[in-house]
Amino acid sequence: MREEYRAAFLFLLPNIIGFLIFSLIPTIASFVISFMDWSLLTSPTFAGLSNYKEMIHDSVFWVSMKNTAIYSFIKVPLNLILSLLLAILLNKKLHGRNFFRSIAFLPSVCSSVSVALIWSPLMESSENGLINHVLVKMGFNIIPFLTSQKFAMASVILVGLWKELGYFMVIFLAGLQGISHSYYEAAAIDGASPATTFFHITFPLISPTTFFALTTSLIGSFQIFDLTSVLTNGGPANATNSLVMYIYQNGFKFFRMGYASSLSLILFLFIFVITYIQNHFANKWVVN
Amino acid sequence: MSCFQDFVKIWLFASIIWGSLGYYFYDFQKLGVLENLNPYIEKDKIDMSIYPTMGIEEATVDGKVYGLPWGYAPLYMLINLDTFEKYGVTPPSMDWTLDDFEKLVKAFPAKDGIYGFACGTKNLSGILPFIWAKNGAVLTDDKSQYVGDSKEAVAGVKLLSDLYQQGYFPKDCINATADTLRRWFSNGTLAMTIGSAQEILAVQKIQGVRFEAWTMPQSPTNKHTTVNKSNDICICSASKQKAAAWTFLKFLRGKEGESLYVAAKRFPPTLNIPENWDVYLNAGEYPKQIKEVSQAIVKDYSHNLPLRTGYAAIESKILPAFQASMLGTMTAEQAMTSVKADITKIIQQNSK
Repeated sequence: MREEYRAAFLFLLPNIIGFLIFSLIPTIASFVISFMDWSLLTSPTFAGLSNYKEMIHDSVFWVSMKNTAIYSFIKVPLNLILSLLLAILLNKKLHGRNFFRSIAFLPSVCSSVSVALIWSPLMESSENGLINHVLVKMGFNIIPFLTSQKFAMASVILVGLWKELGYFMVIFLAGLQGISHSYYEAAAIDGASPATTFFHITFPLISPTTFFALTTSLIGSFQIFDLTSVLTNGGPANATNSLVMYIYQNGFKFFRMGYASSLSLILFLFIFVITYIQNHFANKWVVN
Repeated sequence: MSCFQDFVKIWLFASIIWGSLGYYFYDFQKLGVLENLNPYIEKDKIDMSIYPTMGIEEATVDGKVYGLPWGYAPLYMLINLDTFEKYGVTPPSMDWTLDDFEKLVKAFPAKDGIYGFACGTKNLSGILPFIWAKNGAVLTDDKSQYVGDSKEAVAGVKLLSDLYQQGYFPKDCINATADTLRRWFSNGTLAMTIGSAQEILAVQKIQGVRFEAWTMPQSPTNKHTTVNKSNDICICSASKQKAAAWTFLKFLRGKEGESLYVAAKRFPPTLNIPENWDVYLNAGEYPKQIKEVSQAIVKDYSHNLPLRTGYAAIESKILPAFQASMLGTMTAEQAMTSVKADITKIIQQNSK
């Protein structure tokens, strides 16, 4: 028995070391640094709660927090709904099903930076941009995708959706294929409509998958940085400035590690609370 | 902690901190990262007259020189001669004013997707010349106070914002990177753009583009509106091999190193060595007047950037406000006033 425990521990050790070095220790260090005034190149000085007090009056913090929340709470539900619909469609017996699954999954294997670089010229606010070129030919007006405070965040959400749809489609596909056909056969015999079948059989039985997708998608969305950085650099006029972007700017452009750490701690707490609430209410809708 | 700091400094900077320190020079100097070069300069009796005066001034704090200038060059107004010729517009003289600039911009058929100019909003260097040309400024001469909300500075911002809103600048210039501006300039979409020596190098690689590097527009009473900027090469104060670092730095920024660098044709000559221009220039290659224009800029048209500690943070406040002014969600006055409190706080924090 002791041998087994030792073997188990040894197998887990790399992961534990990785978790300690790259997750737990940096998190604790960040917590401590958040109470400091530190430029990285000089000795840190204790600053008490001054970083947190500054945050309360920092308009850019609130704007970036709002932008991050908007991005997450709009993109995540849309992402889950669309990827589920896509998964249901691609779970049916279709000609070329595997081909379509591959096409749908391809964007998720591209890096976010290359995705943003591809979409940036497509979304140019003139007829030089492919999307506007087509819109103008169809008789519509040019849409200032990335150059308007009104449209910029929606455009970033669109690109984010395009990138991640395929990934969550695969997740849902795995969930759908785990549902026994006998349920659907029984529902068909009882004369259930497709909508009834979906809401009373499919959705409950993939609720664990949905819960996983919802949790991971939300955590990832709150950390949006690469798309906004390349597409809009947080503009125009801070319309797409995310909290992680602001953390990066404070830490590595303004040399304010203490303030950046306090911002990242707030982000951590926010994600923690959201995830806790999700877990707390999971037993009300997730079928085990 | 000092051991960790030394480790970080050496890990980040090695013995010599390469150029492009520009924006962060004063931050690094205040943090004690840079070595005072005065003892080395005095010991080796370095002839400082070969360095551009403004470049040495930018690298000096409280009488101590912390770096030697490298890549001291203007931010030119690049002019696409083909685009000017195609639309029958006469290129400006070196003493052109903001009124001339406005007329030139409006002379190009923006409705057909050909623009006179595009205002980049990635850094202040693209906006400051227009503020200076209205006799305004963002910081006072001693860089201790924000004055970007003055009537004059606001007028400079308003000019650019009005031109953008009227459709004379491409809409995407609000997010455009340097690469995008360069692409537009090279393919004739843009008649003028602000460019450094790097942009000149990139455009020269594209065959068939005839262009010149020019001064920025001025006011009738203030010609000093063209940013002339130096990067600096410094020695890391945590270096364990300062003597060796100085030997290398002395070579790099001495006549021999400068000649080698000029021969690679990366940047216009920095040092006051006239014969280097003959090495740098390729006969018949555009921009053909770069030597005369660069020398004229240094003499009559140049303006240093208002660099100081916290400059990056100050810039990060002004640029979104400027973008809001361009988009029309704020007036120019509201935009430049809205950042005053934040910038004043940044200056106070960085003056401690």
